Amino acid sequence: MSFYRWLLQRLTGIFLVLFLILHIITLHFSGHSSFDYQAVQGRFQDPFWFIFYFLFLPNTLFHGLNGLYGIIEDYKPSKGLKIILAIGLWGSGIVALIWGILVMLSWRIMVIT
Amino acid sequence: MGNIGNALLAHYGDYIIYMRIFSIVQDISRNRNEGTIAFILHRITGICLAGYIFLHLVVLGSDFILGKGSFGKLMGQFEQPLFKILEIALIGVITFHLINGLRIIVLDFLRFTRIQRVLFWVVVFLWVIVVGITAVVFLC
Repeated sequence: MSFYRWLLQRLTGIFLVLFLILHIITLHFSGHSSFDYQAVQGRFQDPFWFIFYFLFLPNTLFHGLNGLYGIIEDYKPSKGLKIILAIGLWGSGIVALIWGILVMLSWRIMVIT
Repeated sequence: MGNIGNALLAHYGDYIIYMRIFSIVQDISRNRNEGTIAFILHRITGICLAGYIFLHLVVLGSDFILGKGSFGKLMGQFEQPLFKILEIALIGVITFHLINGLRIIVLDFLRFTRIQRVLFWVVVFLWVIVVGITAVVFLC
């Protein structure tokens, strides 16, 4: 189990490098007009960006929360604390994922204009 | 009282863990080398970024919480000079975690453990260049 967590942390990390370079260049190095609501909605009409962020979000959440679990695990928690931690992190990850997907769908379908 | 006392004692180990997480200073003083600095910086930046993901998601969904148009208003705030500095700091934190993460992957998969100290200074060198370019682009 811990082997797969170690391996997935590296694999999601490699994907994150590729995702983040593209994400930061488009959003932070293309002028702040890329932050406009219309620009964001416009990007999400393009299937490329929609699929890009759809893959980016679970990948990032897994990397972040698995990292936090690994940090706590380093300090030898009891079995009970580990289970509580795993439930808490998976729960918050799933809530954040659903939230993020709803936000992305609202941009794609343009619910709020 | 006996039961409660036992229950508290059973979780005493967990309280020790909470205390140990903040004993980073001890880790540095016991193991003074580049690897420890890299480890601690990677850990701190990692915790910051894990928190940032959630902040980021909440802000992106601000139209759901605060109503129509609040996303645009929030994004308008980012034109202020203070946010330019914070943006550079954010990119600094991300790029350190990213470049040092690549160092860790190289150490794990290519067995470059013997040159991990040199690789740390390579990471610092690349990071300074990236942050320098970012600062010049953002402030000029």
